[in-house]
Amino acid sequence: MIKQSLNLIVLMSLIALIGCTNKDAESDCSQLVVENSWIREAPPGSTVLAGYLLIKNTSNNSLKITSASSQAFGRIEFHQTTQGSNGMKMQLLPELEIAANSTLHLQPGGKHMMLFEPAAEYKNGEKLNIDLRCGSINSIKTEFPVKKTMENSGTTHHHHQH
Amino acid sequence: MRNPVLIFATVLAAGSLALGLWSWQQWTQTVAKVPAKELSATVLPSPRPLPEIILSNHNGEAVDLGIASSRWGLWFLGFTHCPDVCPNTLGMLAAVRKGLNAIDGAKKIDMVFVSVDPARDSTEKLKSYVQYFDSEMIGLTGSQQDIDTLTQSLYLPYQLDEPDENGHYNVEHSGALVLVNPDNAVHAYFTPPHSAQTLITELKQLTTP
Repeated sequence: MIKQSLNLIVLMSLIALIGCTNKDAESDCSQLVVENSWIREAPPGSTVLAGYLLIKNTSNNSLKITSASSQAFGRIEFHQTTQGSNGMKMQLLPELEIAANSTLHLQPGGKHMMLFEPAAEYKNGEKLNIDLRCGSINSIKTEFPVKKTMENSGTTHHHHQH
Repeated sequence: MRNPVLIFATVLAAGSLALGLWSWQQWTQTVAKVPAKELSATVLPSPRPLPEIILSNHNGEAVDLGIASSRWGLWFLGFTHCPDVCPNTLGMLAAVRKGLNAIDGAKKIDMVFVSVDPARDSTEKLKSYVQYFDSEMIGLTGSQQDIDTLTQSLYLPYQLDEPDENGHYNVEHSGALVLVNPDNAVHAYFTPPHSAQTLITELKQLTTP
């Protein structure tokens, strides 16, 4: 009797687990790999910073990063610099979608993270932690070094091939 | 396409075609004297004078655009609260100026940042901002009306967006660079995406007689 109940519990748990896996397939961070994360040091007086990174999706499903948060900033949004009728403009992206088996580049002049209300004046060499959330269940804790870049700016993008 | 002879013939045909195209291109270039590489800059057929307005530089000094500066300038329009495009471009301009300085015989070019957001960008703010990128960079700003006159004359529109609930607002502005000649007239435009190396090469070419 005990054995039977135990079997039943194991079976129920397994079913529940499978259910979970299917349900959360879209919001699973575990198959996302983050590389080349960095934040541009803010010039004096600037209270909005930009963060950049590469996000690799190693799964066969399209995955989404739905939000980001950090102790270091009051608010974080995803933006894209686009060409509007009056020049370059910022478009708010509600989430970042990373297609199956591909890499999303967040880089100067394109998609980037907008980091509002910095808690302090962060300087070159400091390391800040940002949580990239995939839905409500899991997140990727990512370290972003602050960099003061000059020569590496512009359109020199470093594309990594794997 | 399993037949080795067929594959060989195809490769041979493709090779001949490529060689033929290359020879033809070489020949037409010699005959028509087409420059090996065209400029990415758009050079105006005749330079367009800047409007005769008075702006303020980052030291709070009046700059009369009606008076020839006698120096070449590379101008960029933006605002200091700009997180992506402006720091990216100004960092590159600092590198371009250093790159040009390292070339013998290249003209000195002033890197000029014009803030189109005078409500937030005071002279003091502008000073610490431009000097962060390059101690020799020049910051300019003026009344919104004078900024409008300048941007209309340069054909570079901008737009102050509506502030969000936190009072933060973005400014849509052009990513173009404007080459201004020593007589204070627009000589050429560079449209984004920019590359520091291309700018160094072309600026030297455009400013050296």
